[in-house]
Amino acid sequence: MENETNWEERADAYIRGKLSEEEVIAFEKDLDGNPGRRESIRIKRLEHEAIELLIEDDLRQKMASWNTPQPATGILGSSPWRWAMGLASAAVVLIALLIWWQRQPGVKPTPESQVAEKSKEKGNESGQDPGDTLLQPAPTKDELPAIKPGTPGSITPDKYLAVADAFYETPPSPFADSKGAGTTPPQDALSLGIQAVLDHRPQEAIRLLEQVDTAAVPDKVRFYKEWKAYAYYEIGRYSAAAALLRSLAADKNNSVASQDRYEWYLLLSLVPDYARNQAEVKALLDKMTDPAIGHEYSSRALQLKKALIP
Amino acid sequence: MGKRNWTDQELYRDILNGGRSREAALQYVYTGTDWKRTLNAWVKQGGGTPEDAEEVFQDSIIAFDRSIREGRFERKSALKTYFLGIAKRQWLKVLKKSNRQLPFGMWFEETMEDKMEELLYAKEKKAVLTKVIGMMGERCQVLLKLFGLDYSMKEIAEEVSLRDQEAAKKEVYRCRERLKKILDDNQDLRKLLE
Repeated sequence: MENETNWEERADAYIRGKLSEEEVIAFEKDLDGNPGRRESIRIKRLEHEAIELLIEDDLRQKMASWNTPQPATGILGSSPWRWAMGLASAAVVLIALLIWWQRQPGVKPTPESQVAEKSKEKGNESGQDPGDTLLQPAPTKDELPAIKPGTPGSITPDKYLAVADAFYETPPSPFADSKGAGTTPPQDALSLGIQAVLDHRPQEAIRLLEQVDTAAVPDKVRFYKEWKAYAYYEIGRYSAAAALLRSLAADKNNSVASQDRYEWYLLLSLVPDYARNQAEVKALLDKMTDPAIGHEYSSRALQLKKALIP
Repeated sequence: MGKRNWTDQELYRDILNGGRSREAALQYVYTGTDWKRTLNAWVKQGGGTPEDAEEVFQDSIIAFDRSIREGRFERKSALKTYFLGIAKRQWLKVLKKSNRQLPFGMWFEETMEDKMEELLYAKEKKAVLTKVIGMMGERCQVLLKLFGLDYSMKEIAEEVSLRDQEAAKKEVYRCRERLKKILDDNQDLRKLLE
């Protein structure tokens, strides 16, 4: 009998499809009379499956990054040059916002801005992109920070993403109101997925949300879609995020407040690819800023409009 | 990515060999070929959305990558043909999942030997495997991934800043043993996986 080290190596090659046809036959013949080794193979198969899942996750992340033309959201990458560019851009916008902020007479936070502050605190804890802090404190509905619009035609594709990021705030947890302090949050895949989005672990969030059996919880499908969309946004899959939010916004069974929220986040998911989505962005902005409609996000939409269409 | 155009032979070799060259080859498949355009046309023809097409494309690349690394591609066809065969099956799965009809005139090769669906995990199995992986430390996850992708011990040492290939070998061994122990100690999880 061959020694254990050789057998282990051959077993690994067998599991990973690296043996020739003849070698496979010989190897399996050897296994037939050896229950101990058969058991080892079973474990090795599981080990291989676990490793393949790691490889799959890694490849999905890479594809998401290949899909994103400019990694501006929390993925400045390893290049020092990108870092420098990212920091410089963030600094310029931050200075502009500080100047604006100093000129404002005593802005009082509204409930909406308090919510935003809460979510921002969380983002800062997890080491988010410095750009995420640009809206601190969050805008009131009537007095909003202006993203320096620049001259017409001066906005580059990267800037569109920066504009969307500056306005983007993950909504507060839907559990916050229904659960008292100290209550253990639900541990189902949907709740854990939402928590992962809030904790800025988008890949894990997507993985968890994909475990939700939507057929079993039809009344929660809207949460599934909405939070998956936020996770997609974080990893740069803007069109996938937009598709989910578009379907939610089109569903007339949802409350008006929810529909307004879906439209706002749909809008932000469309902005990074402004060149392609220009018509839809414009239509949404027109609708949201129409005073007759009284859209929940009208003031923000107006600010976004100014930033996008100088 | 370096090269402008890759031959089938180069793509096949670099994916099969794993290691650092695999990533560049897959990036070329993802961004540099017209495979996605062909797939988009099918999906559109079948009433799918661009998001459906992206999902099918990504799932197909994952199955394609694994299929080549595990020696399932027998090199009897062009890589694009092989890839699109995988993609057709993935698209069929999406249609089935959403209870949509197979578009008229669209047929699927039944003779393909590979069962591509097996290369992408069922939701339940994935959930259990995710739990198992979660029990490993982050460093072990990286080491095992590199090991699974056939990085040499020298490359692994460089990737995770280890002293030399001997140190990498020891760490990989420790992580593999740890994973085996988790699988061994958790019979309930194992039952769900087998």
